[in-house]
Amino acid sequence: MSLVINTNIASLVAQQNLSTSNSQLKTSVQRLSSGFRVNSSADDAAGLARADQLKSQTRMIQAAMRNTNDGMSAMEVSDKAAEQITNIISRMGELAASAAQGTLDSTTRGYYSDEYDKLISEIDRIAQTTEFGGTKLINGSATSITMHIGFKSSSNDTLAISLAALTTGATSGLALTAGILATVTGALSGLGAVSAALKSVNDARSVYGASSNRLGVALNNLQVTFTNYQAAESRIRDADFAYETAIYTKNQIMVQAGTSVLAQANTLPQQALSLLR
Amino acid sequence: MALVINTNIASLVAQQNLSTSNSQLKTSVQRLSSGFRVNSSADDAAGLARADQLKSQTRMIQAAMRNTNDGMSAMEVSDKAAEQITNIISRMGELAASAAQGTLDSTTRGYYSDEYDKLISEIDRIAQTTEFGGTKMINGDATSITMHIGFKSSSNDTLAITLAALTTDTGLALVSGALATVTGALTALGSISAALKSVNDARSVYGASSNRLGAALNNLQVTFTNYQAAESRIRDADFAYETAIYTKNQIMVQAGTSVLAQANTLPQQALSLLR
Repeated sequence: MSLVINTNIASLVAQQNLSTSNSQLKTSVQRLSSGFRVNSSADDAAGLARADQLKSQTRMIQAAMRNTNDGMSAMEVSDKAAEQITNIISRMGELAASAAQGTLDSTTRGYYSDEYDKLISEIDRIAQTTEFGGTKLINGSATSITMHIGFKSSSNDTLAISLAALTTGATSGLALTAGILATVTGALSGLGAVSAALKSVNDARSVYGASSNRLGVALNNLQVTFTNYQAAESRIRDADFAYETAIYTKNQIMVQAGTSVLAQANTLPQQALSLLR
Repeated sequence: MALVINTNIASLVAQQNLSTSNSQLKTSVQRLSSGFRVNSSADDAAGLARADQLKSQTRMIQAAMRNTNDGMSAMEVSDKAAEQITNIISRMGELAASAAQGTLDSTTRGYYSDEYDKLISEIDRIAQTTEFGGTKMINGDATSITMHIGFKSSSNDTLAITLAALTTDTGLALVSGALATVTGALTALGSISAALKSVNDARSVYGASSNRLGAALNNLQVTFTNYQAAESRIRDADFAYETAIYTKNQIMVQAGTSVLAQANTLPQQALSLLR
């Protein structure tokens, strides 16, 4: 290589390498300070897209978990209301059995009949006031309720739970009629009606219990999916500190060495002066 | 596994397991505090349905037991009234036999006849006032009474008891004024035997029905105990088992909490690399 003064090739080469080292050191600092390996699309465009998709899905999963918990709460609310109705129906059975006794005079039978009728009204009141999040659950106004327990929009991401009407009346859920205890014959038919009503409530409760357990399983699965998706996003986006600190140290040394070499390269053309002495 | 800071997978796994343990501990606490294994339909829907049915039936059985006891009381009331009527008829037989004596003058016979007629009125008064729960038992208003002594509505759940009329005009054929003559007094002696037989017939029905109701009551009591036991086996918590599970869950929650705290600090390792 010829010895020239105006152009310091060695210095240019040193500057170029120092610039590269500095840029890599900058990347290392960014990764270590942010904790992310992928800080911009320039770092890993495909990885960033996958990681962002996973991040978006984990937030949808969190919403699905809240939905599932709400569903379990709704089932619990329905179940406890149905439990109260069961207790009332038990008492009504006791009243019907008592009123079926032939030795009663009409006044005493009337006392049983009054309580029976009032309990029917109470069942209806409970049925009309049992709601979750503003949705009436057991008055028959909705025949089913759809829970969104996934993070897609397919049919597998929803769960429809049928809601039985637990109101009294000839056409709706519980065929219990007021005034039936006025006669012995009526009281005897009341016994049958009470058994049938109890079965209807038990049918409804088995749906609540089964749905609640199913939602619980779905929730467990969502939790596992949530953990897995976060792990997947982490593997793409997050910085491995063991690796990144090693690279950082290497880049630090490269910059120090580069700076030192550049300083020496800048003084190389001074050799020409020694020829003029 | 790479050493990362932004996502703590170990902590997420620990959180998930802790959440499961917490939920199981909640179930244990609910079971131990309520005493019930089945607290909601989610615990055991089929079992709950069976238990609720049994509970409803035990309450119907309780009503049936009260009904049966009422029936026994009604029989006892009728029997004691009939016993009084029997005593009266005995006295009437004594009066008729006395009045049948030819040596009596009409005044003395009149004394016997007066008492005889007053006793007839007393029999009718007793028959009209004997009632149980508002139902007249021996005046012929009702020819039978139906006891509901079961907890279903079939014919086997009811028991119809025939009620005889113990009034003098219908049931007992005793007429006032019969002792005015010797002939009348002699006829009355026959009427009295027939009336006594009618009352005894009625009392045998009361006694038999009462004993039958007693047997039905015993059976209801046994059924009641069995149904309660059946409900208990389904619904109640076995404390020996549940306390063991509770202790296990308690340890799981404590261990999970401790591990979670440690998992949360794992990423601090990264700092040591930067020193």
